[in-house]
Amino acid sequence: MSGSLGIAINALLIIAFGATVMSVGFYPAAVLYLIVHMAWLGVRPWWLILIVTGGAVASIALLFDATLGVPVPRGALF
Amino acid sequence: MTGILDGLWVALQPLNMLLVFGGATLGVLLGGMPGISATLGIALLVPLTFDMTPVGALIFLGGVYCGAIYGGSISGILLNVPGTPAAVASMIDGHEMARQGRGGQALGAAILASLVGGQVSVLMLLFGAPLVASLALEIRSAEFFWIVVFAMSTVGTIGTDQPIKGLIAGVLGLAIGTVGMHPMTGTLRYTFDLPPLYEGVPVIVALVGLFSISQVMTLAEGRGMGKQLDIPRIGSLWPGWSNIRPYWATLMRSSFLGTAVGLLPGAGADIAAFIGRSEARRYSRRPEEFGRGSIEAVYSSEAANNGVVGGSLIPMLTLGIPGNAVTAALLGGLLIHGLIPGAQLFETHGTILYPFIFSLFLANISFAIIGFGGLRLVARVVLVPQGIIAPLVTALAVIGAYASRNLGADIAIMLAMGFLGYALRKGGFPLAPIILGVILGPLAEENLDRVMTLSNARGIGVWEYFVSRWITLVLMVLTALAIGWSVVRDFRFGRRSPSDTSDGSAQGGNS
Repeated sequence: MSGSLGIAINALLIIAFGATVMSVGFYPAAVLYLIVHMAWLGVRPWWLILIVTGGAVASIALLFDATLGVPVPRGALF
Repeated sequence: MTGILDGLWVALQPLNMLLVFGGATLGVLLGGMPGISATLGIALLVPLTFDMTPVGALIFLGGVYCGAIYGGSISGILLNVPGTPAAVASMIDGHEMARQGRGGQALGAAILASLVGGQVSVLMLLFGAPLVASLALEIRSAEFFWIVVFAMSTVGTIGTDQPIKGLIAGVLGLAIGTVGMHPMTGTLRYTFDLPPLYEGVPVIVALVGLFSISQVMTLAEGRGMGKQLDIPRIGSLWPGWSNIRPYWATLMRSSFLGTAVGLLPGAGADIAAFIGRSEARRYSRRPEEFGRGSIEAVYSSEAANNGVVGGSLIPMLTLGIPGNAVTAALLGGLLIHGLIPGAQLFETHGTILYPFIFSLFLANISFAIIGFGGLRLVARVVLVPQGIIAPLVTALAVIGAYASRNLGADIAIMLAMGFLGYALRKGGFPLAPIILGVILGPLAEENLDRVMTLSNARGIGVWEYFVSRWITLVLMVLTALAIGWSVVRDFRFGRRSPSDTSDGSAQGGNS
């Protein structure tokens, strides 16, 4: 995998995340993005990706959204 | 005096102490992660403060600032991977000590020096800032405009071998700062008929994009889980009195040097740490030990980089001019809560500022407690792979961008700023001058507009008005000298060794 193609794929994943956040909502977009980007970046084993994703999204929901009232983008799904 | 005592009382309230401890803990954890600078840490955590009171928000962010500057040294000493650019100087001898089995001593020395440097600088802030603020009350629009121009001419040019790139980055920031409605005429500029740009590019959105997405792209360049690094044996953290007593002069000198460097526009904790180290070597009885695991070197660089905290806050709080990227990030946090930094701030919001300053003392104590008490646990964060950090930073950046105005368009602006920042990093341009330009551009423009109105009323030209005031004249000469010196340095020295700005933050007073 050439360096510039890798950079382009990273950029595309980030752009896709930014684009889907407003349509489907932050939480579903974040779950999908975190799993795909971590997998692409070579994080292994898979259960680690799932634990980090679940932990991160749950922490954001509890700390940012529920406790501190930080507005999180909502969309069609959540 | 009553205001100061009231400030101490507010800072000691249980909730505020909890906020400062929480901020310092998060700061140490984020600063400890390789690739997360104090600036990025603050930018990512500003959204947490949206619902807090202004006092609580400032106290929390101050804790993050102090904690992150210290935290960067952990991964530097243990793994030879600096958590923040400010930790590079301490890493040289700190990691060598760790290799010699004295990692605990190095980490303990870093905690102690950070604590001393931080407390000395906050003491200077406590007594120096109100003094500067009272002098700053005399500053008029013409002087203020030229202070901003002078700051922009030095930001990004100190501590780099390619100062022209720093100047170009500053001009780019000023250009981005002109986007939106003209403050006096209401004319729309560079908005492309897009309503979200009518109010300009929000500081927080620009900050989050520039520092987080560009860093994510940099972190994501290395795929895989990375090398499996092992934390070396730490041992006892207490350096021992015999390793402290002979170095008090070094600690104090570096603390004052760090505070002085913090006052300068463009010089951040990274530059202060190297200056502190080289001065300590000059005065040391054992200069030959520097670079071979000298505890004195660790003391000097760590006291200097934490000394920057108080110094850098003086121009930010009294003039509204952040000297480096991390204070620009803090300024973003202030603006969100309706606090406009400047000479009036101590008069109008003393009830907020004094608790903030006292909380910085507590923040320094907090990271020392975290350091001496829980370092073995905290040290685990340095092993988090970049493949995990990068996507998490993106997720937090999206929330940070959206939350400032509840606008989806801000996510797009943030991403655009992020990719621009990444491209500039690749080209060796520092990012700190850009964000300072975005913040200072509108301030400079507003003051220039006032000068134009005043000079018109007097029936004289703007330049004639400027040269009629001696402070303005001095600032104009200093600006010309700073730019001239940058050009000369760039052509004389810059061509020889292009600087490595791969982390994009080692230049322009970043931390």
